[in-house]
Amino acid sequence: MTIKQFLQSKIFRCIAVLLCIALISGGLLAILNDLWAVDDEILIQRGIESVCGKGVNLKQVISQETIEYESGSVQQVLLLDTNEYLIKALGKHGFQEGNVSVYVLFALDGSKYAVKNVAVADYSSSQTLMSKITDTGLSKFVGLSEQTNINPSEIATGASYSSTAIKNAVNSAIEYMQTINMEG
Amino acid sequence: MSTIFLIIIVAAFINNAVLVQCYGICPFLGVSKKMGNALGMGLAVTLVMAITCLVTFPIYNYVLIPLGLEFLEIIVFIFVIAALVQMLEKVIKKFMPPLYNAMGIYLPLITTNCAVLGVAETVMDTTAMETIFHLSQGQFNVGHAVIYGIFLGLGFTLAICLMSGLRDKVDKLEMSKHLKGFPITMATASFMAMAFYVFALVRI
Amino acid sequence: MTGSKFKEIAKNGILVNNPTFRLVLGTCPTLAISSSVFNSLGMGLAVTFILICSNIIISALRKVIPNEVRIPAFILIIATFVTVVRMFLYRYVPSLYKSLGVFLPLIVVNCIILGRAESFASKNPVLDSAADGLFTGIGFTLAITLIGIVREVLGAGAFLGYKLWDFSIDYFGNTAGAFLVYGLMIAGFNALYEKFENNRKRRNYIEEMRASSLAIEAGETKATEKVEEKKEA
Repeated sequence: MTIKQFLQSKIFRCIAVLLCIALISGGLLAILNDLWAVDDEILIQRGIESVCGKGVNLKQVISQETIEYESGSVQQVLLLDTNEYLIKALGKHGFQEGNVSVYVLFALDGSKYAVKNVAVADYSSSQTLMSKITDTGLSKFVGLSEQTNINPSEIATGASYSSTAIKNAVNSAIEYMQTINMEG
Repeated sequence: MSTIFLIIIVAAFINNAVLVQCYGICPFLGVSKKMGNALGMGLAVTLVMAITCLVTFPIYNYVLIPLGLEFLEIIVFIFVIAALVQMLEKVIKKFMPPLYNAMGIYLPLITTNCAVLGVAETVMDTTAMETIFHLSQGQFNVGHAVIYGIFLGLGFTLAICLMSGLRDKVDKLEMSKHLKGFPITMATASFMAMAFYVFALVRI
Repeated sequence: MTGSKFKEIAKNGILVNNPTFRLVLGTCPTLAISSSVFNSLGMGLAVTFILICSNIIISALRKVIPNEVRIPAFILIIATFVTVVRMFLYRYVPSLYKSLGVFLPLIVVNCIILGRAESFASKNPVLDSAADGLFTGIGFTLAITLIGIVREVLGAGAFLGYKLWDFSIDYFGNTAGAFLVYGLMIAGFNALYEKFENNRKRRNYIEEMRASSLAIEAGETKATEKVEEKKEA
């Protein structure tokens, strides 16, 4: 088969069409991937909006390291321009040992601090009943400054494991506040 | 060893492909009329799942991530699966004719089976898998992925075979003509799913 | 495209060939995602968007793509649009991205989209294909949202995330409930469809009878007129 014959054959046409479509779609996706990239800044801003609503901005990132506690860990500590602390904490022992991470907002008043708001940030895919966690349930944490032993059924009926993980996360965040408060 | 046992239990029962995660409902409803067909379909899916895990896991973690091409994942996976199924069909036809007679006709259907693409998408997310199986970071490897694929496929086989056994009896019952076919099969599947839901309550 | 063809495509997509209730295609996302109205709507809109886009492109390229490689080419086009939707949701609607989870990439293997590409878009002009994609998508969205409403109201006692009452049956939030609700809805839709079909047949029959009796009457009058004409003659 000569090159000319090959160029006119059906096989060449098939390959050429497929390659063209693949190249065009690959290029399109590469451009969109750059255009719609999600970086840390957007993630932090998204977290702030989920807890405080719009109009609040980041003042300072205090810590990005994971600090392990007994039943959870603190992943991120942020200081907002309203002088409130926002802590992203992860709670263990959810449904099928999955995790739930939450944003906990602390209002500061001199050396005193108290939970002002809680919002779910992320959860592992095994947490199938997360739709049962509502704002009313999460508002049970508001005002706390000590670790709580709240009954999971008070947060959400029917999703007790996921609620336990949320409770663990909030407790870890409170524990972090206690330690930095003691230090100064 | 305990990790492997955990993976087997999770893949086959707790995350049962059909009755818990809703993968592969089309063959579950379509090919479950006779036990023989159901078994052939189930084993074909298991084989393809195992090979898919073996191939897509390294492709994603050792090729796409280092190159920063994660966004091409869907296209790459579906093409790898389609090519694998084609090759598998040729190989089985040539070297194992009895096996081809048993499950060859189901192989082309598997390309567009969500269970296969679903398992590829599940196992490639190593962080999620490590949380479920209590592994530390970087410990989930190809071997684990393949075991997960095989037993997810066997869980699918179990569900589809049980269904064909039940349909043998259910289809003979007298009922309104509107309930016949899909509706009554789905109602039966609902009861099976309730039974499998009990596995989800096991603390692992 | 004429109005009557447009009407026929709409009727086919939403009622006669409703992908979810009549053809029972794309069952996996229907069962897995329909636990809440918001997710159902999101899934439905995503599928509708992908259906319209892929139908347009496939129909525009239908003379370029060789017959032998049409299925890989269709899958390639569909997969591209699925990836676009996935990136868009990750950037702008993260909550929906999270709750659709693995079923978002699985839209690629949704039989509805490949089915429409193969049976309609690869044979018809662009505008018709776009309309077909739109109405098939609407049919799917309506069906999955209907299941979503039933499951959310019964399973979580809520509608679109707003709590209605404290009463809820967990069964409907699980896969098991999804199977039952979907099955019963297929049965109900079949019964309704048959009733409409029977009514239509009866109406057609009555109209036919009326037409034929009119024809007979007309024939009779003609005949009598002829007789009278003869008499007069």
